[in-house]
Amino acid sequence: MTCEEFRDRFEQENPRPLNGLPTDLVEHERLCAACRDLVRDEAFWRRFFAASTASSPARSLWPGVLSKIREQLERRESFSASFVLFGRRLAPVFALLLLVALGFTIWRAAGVEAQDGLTMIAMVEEGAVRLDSLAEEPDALLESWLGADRQ
Amino acid sequence: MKIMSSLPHPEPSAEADAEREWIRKSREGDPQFYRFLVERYQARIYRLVARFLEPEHGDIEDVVQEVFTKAFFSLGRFREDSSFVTWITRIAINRAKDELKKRSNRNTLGEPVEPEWIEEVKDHVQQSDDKEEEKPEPPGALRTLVDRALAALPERLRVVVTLKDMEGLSYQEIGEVMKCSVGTVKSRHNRARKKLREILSAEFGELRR
Repeated sequence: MTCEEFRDRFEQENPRPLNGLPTDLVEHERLCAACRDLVRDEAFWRRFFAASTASSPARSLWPGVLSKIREQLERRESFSASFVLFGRRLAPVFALLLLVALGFTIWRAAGVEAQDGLTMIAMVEEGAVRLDSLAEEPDALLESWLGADRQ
Repeated sequence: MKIMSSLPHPEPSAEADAEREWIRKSREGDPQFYRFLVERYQARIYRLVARFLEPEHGDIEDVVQEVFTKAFFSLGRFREDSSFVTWITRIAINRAKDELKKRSNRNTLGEPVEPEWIEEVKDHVQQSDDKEEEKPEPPGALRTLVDRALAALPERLRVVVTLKDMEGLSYQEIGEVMKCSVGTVKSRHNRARKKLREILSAEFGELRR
């Protein structure tokens, strides 16, 4: 048995008490000082931690848990109830605000659309003028373009 | 006891099924089934929380009740990829950690150790060559010392030591509770013991194993 195998088995089997180790582990421990130290170290910590007393509840905790659950449920219910009440009272104000917002949005959208329409008309008109001049003097226009490229 | 007699006692093979049923019913909003879960695990969770918070904290019961209440309202998020006890242990540890964060880590035993403790404690923890773990009655001084030494550990190391050395959980189980790998748990456990030895050596000199 190697020390690694010993450590793995020792860790996995976690023997309690420590003097009840399986015989093959005992055999390895007898011959190996490092593994002997490992077992002694474990014994030291077990004695150390055994001194810590574990307390336990004196009575059932259920009544306390139930009352906390109910308390929270009531709080949630009262929160949602007050939310509903608040909402009802402010509903007309919200409705009015919504109408104003809606009206403003529609008004703005209409304004943008009208502006977009004017821009398009202008662009079309400009295009028509350019086409007209191209039809009249195509060479002059080409030369002016090529001239601009050359420069 | 009356409490225990009201608790259904399923056969071990059927325990998991019964527990699943209690969880399902509790999820549906029936707290009476949640009662079975509370009464099955209250001792374990109480002991765990007490190990973290005593002696500084006054009301362990209240903290444990909060843990179970929080778990009740979070049951909808419990996906059953781990057991209920692992899940609630995680909630309890997080709650205890919140309490621990309120205090700063000391890295020492705090108040000086009484001189008469030193021999008493050394005599108890140091053994001859045998591996006997049990000694008649640990001295009261050692109890105080364990609590104070643990309180001096950084929180993450303290959680591992508490679960491994005091609650007897395996590395695998601790990994599930802490949502980390077995390797990480082992490394933290080694570091915790090393740190504890340093803390103790500062007062007791080198402790022979």
